Amino acid sequence: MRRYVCAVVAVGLLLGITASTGQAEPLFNQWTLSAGGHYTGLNDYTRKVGEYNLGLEEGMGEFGLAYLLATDRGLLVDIDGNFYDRRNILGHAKYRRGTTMAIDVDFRSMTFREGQDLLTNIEAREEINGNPGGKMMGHEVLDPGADYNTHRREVLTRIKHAITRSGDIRFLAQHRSLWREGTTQMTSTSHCITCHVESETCTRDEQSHQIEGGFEADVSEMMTVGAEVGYRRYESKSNAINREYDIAGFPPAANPGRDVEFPSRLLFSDTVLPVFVLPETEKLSGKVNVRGRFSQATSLSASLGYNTTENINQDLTASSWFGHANLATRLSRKTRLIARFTGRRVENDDPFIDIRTFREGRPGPQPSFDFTRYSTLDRRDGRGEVEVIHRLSREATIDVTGGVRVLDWSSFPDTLEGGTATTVFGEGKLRYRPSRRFTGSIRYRAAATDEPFTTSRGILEPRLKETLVRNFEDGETVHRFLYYYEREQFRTVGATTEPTLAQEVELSASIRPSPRLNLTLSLLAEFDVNNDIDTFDVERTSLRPHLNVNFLPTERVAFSGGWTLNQMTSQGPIAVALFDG
Amino acid sequence: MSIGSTPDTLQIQPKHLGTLFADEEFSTTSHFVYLTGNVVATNRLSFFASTSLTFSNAELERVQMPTVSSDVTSTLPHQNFTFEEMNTYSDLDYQILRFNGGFDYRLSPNIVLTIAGEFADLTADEEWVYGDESGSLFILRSGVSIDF
Amino acid sequence: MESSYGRGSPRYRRCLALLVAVVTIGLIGGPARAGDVDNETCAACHEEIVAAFAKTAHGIYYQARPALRDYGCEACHGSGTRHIEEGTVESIINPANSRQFDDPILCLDCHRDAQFQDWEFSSHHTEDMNCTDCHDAHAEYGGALKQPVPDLCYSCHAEVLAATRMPSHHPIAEGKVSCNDCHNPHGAEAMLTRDIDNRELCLSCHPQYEGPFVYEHAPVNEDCMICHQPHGSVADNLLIYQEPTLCLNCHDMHFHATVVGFEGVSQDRLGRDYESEEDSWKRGMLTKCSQCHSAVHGTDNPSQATSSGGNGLTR
Repeated sequence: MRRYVCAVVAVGLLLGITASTGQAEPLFNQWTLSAGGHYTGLNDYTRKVGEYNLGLEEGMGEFGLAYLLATDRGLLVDIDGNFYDRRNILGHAKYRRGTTMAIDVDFRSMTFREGQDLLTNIEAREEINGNPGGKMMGHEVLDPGADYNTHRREVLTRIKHAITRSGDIRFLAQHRSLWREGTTQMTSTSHCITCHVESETCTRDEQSHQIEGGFEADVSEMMTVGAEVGYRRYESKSNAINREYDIAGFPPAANPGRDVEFPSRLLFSDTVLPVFVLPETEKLSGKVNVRGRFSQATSLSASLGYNTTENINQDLTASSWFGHANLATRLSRKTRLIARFTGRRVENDDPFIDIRTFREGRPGPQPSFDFTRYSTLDRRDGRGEVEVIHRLSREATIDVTGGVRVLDWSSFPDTLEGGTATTVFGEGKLRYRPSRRFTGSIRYRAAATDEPFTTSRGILEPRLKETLVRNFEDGETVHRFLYYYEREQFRTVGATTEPTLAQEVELSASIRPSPRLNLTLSLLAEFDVNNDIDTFDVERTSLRPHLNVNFLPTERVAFSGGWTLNQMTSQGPIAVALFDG
Repeated sequence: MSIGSTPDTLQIQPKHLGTLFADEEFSTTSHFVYLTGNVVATNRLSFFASTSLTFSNAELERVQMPTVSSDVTSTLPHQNFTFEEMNTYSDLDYQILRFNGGFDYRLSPNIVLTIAGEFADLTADEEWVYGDESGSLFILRSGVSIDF
Repeated sequence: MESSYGRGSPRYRRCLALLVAVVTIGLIGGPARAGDVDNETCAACHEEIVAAFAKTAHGIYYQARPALRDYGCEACHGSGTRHIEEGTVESIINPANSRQFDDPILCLDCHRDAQFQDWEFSSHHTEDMNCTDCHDAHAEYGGALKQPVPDLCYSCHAEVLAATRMPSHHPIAEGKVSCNDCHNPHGAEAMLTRDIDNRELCLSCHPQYEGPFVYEHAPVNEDCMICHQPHGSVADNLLIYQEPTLCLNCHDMHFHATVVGFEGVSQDRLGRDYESEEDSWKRGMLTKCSQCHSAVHGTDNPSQATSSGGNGLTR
């Protein structure tokens, strides 16, 4: 009897469960097939107006396919693909299985065309007393009329799979591949017989492959931790362009019989060498992150990571530690506080560059030009800011931010005095929304930077008498000529248009007089100056006003129109040395 | 880098008289005007159209270098220190007109016919290094999509 | 002794009742509900919304997410009891009214992916935007955005629309690049998809410029946006200013730009013709620096002059 009752209960349970789960009827199960064609007509020069077009005047078929399958149990298959032409293809596939698995695959293919630099401006001959002089500059386009274009393809796959039944631990994987194939223009210059610039077609065959893997775990209802590692490899299989470098000869008009002098001053001449060689690189990265809430009012997200990038051809490696932390909390019913911090430390190898002997085999001075290439990538960079948002009333909110960024280049010895750029910034914003019919805001931001980015080489060459030069190494004053190659070390006044004071003002308003009409006006203005460089007026002003109208006279008709202006004016230095020799 | 102390055997005497410098002013301006419209004429027929006009230019103001002294002109006789034509070498001036429009017609609940056209015209009033970049293209498209 | 499982026995009656209950529950599919008000009650006033819900993105996950399955409409709108009694908008939660000073937006209780982790710190959130400004949870499945990207983004960021129509631009208008390729609209800072710095973002699609190179160009190691404007520019190659002005802001020009040009045609010793004018040297040196300095992002290949250490970035 007991066995009979238990069996009936078991069968009943089974029937009940089966009945309640039932068969999942699909919510969507739809194919869409599209077929058609297009004809492209071209007129005159189209590499600019049609830079993302194949540039072929022809008719071509177009095809599209879409499939959507979805059930109410979280099964989703969404595929969408479009073939426009053989170089313009888009595809997207999405697969979901409840909260257990998510897969996304994206493919895109596009084409990019470039114009050919005709180099017609590079042709000159010096004049000396009405006659042709020694200095010359010329060009040659080896492939006139070439049509440069690049075919770029990309596939991106992302997978998320729950490892546990509850879905609180998830495995993550991502793969991305990029291919760029085609042709581009390569210009190279051979110096010192004349400056001779040559242009020829260079094939382009580059690929980059990246994989990432990691996990996420919901350690509690309010906290999630994660970790990921990644690897990327880039390589260029482009055929190297071999450039023939002329034998270097001093302009005969200036120094007859001195042809042997100039090759001794060059790293190479009268030889064939490759140009446009891109190194193979590998990048390894790893990151851990945490995000979640301490309470309903306080949220945190933070990450810490490390990556290295290696130039395999040259055995150079740059490595970086980086991290961030964000904290948001509600101080009261009307006030929020957000703190954001980021930090980064980068170290790059500093290779010793062994230069061939200057003027080898020639009488006279043979200074060594060997040097260690210290990297401008070496840095410690930290930034922190605090933002307070306060609701003044139902209609108005005020938002104030203050922060500081310190960027330290001190491991690069040839750069700015002190080698540290410190930026202090602040922003204030007032937003007013009395009703759905009107929203307005005004924002002001200012950032003051002490010693912003500047090239380590100066722009001005001070007047130095040709017979009097101070030896900077030991302070002795010696009498000699100033060589052309020494000018750079005497230059002063680092030039840049990066500002010491950057200000930004933004005004915007959205007006909705009726549900069918919406007007938006805005103005973004930026005013940047650099007060460190007294010699030049360095300023940059940018104005971006905008007006937009959306009008829906009926439910079946919609119009939108507008005007935007992008206006930028920049003042900066322009300099040339008063020099010959 | 070490510095030698023996005169150059080529006996070229470099002449180094400092730097000529000035402030330059560069500006870019781009106006963008657009208008789009969508009309659902009937349950089967809908129209769409958009047009935009972009006026863009980039120009360097005339560069006014200071006048050099006679000391400089006599020491460097084969050189010219005025740069007043320099601003004409790299100016850009483009007008780009774009238009696209078309209609969708639902032949049946599952079949939609689409016909569309696209036109783009670029006029370049300044030549830089690529020659005259003016040109236009148009694309006519038609297709049918079927749901099943 | 009578069996304890006989027909009239209490145990027998209890087992039978249990069996009937299990089968009944199985057939009617309840009690799956854990809320106060079921969807049918909501449909009495909101019939169209409830009927259309099955085909929304949330509808697809209805059975897969316990919160949705057990609470239905109340999963997002909270208890409906008071709303039924009072019939007012204020008596029920409307996620569209959620603002940054309220409790954390409930969407994030389920949507806990990494891409949303910085929403609380994002500019969109501090602008008092919420999920429903871009997403429509009641729309039929199709990505659940009110408008497709980039039109949705342009509705607020019109200056970007204008920039993407400039002569040099990423192919956003052509549909090859999306705002989401660079920006995470749910993220912090400039909402870039790479959280280290914007240089890393650019290099993820343009790895050929990463190096590290033997010969460097300092602004490339600093910030791509010292020279480039990624949304669009008037100058070529997304440059902020046209060459040579961009370069002359940091570098002096070649002193050969001051050379006076010979007016006429002459030949070099290899027999090549040179057609020259008085300002030909200026035109050659002050039109486009990258005609000669083609490796402007950095290179391993030395340039020609020994005294420069090969640092000319011409190969």
